[in-house]
Amino acid sequence: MARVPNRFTNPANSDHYDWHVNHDAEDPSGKTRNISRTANTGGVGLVKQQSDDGPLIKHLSGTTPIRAQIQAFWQWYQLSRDQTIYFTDFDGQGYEVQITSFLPQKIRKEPSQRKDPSAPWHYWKWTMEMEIYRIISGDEAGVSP
Amino acid sequence: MATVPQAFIDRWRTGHHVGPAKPRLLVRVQPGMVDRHFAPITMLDGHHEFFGRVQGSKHQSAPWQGFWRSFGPWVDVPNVQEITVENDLSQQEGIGQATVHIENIIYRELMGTAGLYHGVARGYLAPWFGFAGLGRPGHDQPNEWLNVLNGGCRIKIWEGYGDDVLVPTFIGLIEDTDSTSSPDTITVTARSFGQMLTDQKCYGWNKAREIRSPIVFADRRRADNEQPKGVGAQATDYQRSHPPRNVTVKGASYWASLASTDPNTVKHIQVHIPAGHYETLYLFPRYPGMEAWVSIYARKRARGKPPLVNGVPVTDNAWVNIGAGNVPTEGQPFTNHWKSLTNKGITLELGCGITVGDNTIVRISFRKLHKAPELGTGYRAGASRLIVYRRVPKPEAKNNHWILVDDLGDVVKWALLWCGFKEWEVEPVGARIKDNKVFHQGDDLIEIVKWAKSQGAFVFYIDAPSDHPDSLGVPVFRRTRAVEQPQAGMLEVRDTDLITGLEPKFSKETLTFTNTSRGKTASRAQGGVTWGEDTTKRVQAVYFPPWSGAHRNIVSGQPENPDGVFQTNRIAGVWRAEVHDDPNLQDADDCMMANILIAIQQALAAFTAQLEMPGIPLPALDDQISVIDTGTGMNTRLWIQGFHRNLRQGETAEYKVTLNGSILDSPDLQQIQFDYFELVQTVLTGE
Repeated sequence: MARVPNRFTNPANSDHYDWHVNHDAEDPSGKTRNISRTANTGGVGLVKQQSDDGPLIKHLSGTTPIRAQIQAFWQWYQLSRDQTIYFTDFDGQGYEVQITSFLPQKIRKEPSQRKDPSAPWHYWKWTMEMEIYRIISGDEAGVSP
Repeated sequence: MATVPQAFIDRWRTGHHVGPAKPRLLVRVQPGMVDRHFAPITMLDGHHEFFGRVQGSKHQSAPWQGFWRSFGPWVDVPNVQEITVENDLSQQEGIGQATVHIENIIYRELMGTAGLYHGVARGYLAPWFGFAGLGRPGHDQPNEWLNVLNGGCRIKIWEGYGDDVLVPTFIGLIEDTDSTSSPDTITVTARSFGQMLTDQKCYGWNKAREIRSPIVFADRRRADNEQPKGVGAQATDYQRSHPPRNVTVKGASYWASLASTDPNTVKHIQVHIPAGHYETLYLFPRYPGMEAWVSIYARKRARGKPPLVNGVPVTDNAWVNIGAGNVPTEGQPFTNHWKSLTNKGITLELGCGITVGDNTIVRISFRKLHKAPELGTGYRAGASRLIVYRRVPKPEAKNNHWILVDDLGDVVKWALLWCGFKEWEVEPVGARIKDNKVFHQGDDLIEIVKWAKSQGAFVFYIDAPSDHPDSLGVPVFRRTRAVEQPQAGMLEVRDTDLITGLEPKFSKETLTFTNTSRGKTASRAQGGVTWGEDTTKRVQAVYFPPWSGAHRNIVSGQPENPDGVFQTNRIAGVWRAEVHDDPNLQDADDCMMANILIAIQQALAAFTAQLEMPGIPLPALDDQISVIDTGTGMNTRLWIQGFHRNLRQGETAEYKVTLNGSILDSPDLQQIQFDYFELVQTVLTGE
């Protein structure tokens, strides 16, 4: 079965970036319904007041030996400052997102793992956080982010 | 204020503000200004009001007034995080203010080649966004929010439990705008339209434009000279020795009708009056207990102009009909009616103001006739005097454009009219202005309201807007409800409704051992007494409030039962004395009433409480709320002096209100209420 890369798309001009290496893992993400509960002076029951649901946020993490991928991530993070972008993962889940966090970390590597001649001595571990503004397609379709 | 729907109250009462009943708010702004022009007084509900006139003005039917002029439609304010609405009778003078916190970042919808996305615009709502002064480098492009949230707009707030039960709770003008960066927020502060009273002087176009400062409010009757008129008296019939003409001749005998066997026979006497304006008549009935009606046959004025009734043209050569009814048997409409008159001379109201032409007839019809043994058997009607007062404006009233009113409370309506209000709840004071009241150009318009308030136990505040879309808020001027019996429909809250218990506080700071009021100067025979070093004899009364431990019965002056449930001893004999001087107090009863009103204010300040409960725009200021709180043992009504309401949206929503006020169901205030009503009853019955 052919590999399906994750993809970033700039909706303004349709530019896209297919990830060199997909993410390794995804933290649990979903929605939280916030309800405050305050005791009344009668001590009988609680006064409940519902707030807006918490945001839907994707937490991804991965590794890559490819410098170009890190550079691309930085560019898409910068683009996210002023607009939302599309993120479509390998599973066909599509979202309109804003990258709110990107944390790469250089890790020293053995010479046998030197795939990128421009990065002979290290690879990167990274984490990324994306806040979802709209669900375009996928399992969460119909849910308000 | 707007009607709070039952669905709102039901949802509030459940305490489960989740799902479709979760707290919601809506904020809108609209650019515009309060402009001014001459126009008929048309209230928001369409009815026309009349509360006096500017003497000598050419704009009687269309007085100078303010009105809101919009420069655009209402616009929803996005990203509102939190609102606070508060008002207080004392600290804010009832004007009220609101604070709105807005997240100053917009996600604009954009369409790209790949589809819909959103542009992140920080500071988008900032009122200065995109503006560059001369010589300044350009930065961003201005947008539709330029100069919106920094003044020149009115702002309106709705609150509710669910989007389907939002209630308007505040409307006012933007005062301050504070912006921060990272996080990008804007905080807007607004005050209600009551600021038109507090921030504007009695000067220029702020008041009736044709009046030069100072403004003079005067009693309408006292601003006219009265000329007695009445000739050509006629009657149904008359005893030959007592013809009708006697009523128009001062010092003459009297008119008496022919005798009837039935006392309910209707007899009348009438006089003819010349052209002019009339509102009252003087009648001296010959016999006591007669029932009477006044009817007016109006003639046209000079140059064929129709007669006027309350300024409105009516048919000439016809009986004036104001819808009050018809005189029995005779059948013509009447304008006023008295069920029983004494046999003493009295000035009576015609029931309307008439401006008529020559030879107009004023008729008094009598029933419940009286026996007149001096004239023989049978029942008769009779009168010693019948004249009608023609009113002629005093020259100074006309030249100086005095504002003439019938009720002292009408001065408040004039101030509100100039500020642009077209709805209000203004209660008549029930008294006329005694001496002309002058307001100079250095006085704020609110001084007019304050002066009216000072004439009794009145309150003033700006209530939330009504349901009408053009409402600017509803000014309220009325007798305080603090001394009223429990109101029908009063909101009742218990432990299950409260977030914090009723927190009662007692302070004896305002409590005195005696309240003494001294009025006008009077001789000893008229009840005048000296007081300590004040050797001027004045009418006086002394009141021992219930907390003094030395309370006396209002009528007898004797000490009350010290063990009575309403007798307290809170100040342990510390003899603090309150002395109130007011030369307008006419007698001891006036002085005692003043003492009791002072004691009420003292009690309201001494026994206070505060509570917090889930948010609801009830009760309003000056209203009462019933509270039963087991934790503090309180079972009382709370008279609302102030509220602070907060609604926050987002991930940590909250909707709460804090009410503070005075405890009404205390033994002290109960006793004072007894004294108040006993004094009123004593004065009314003359005992």
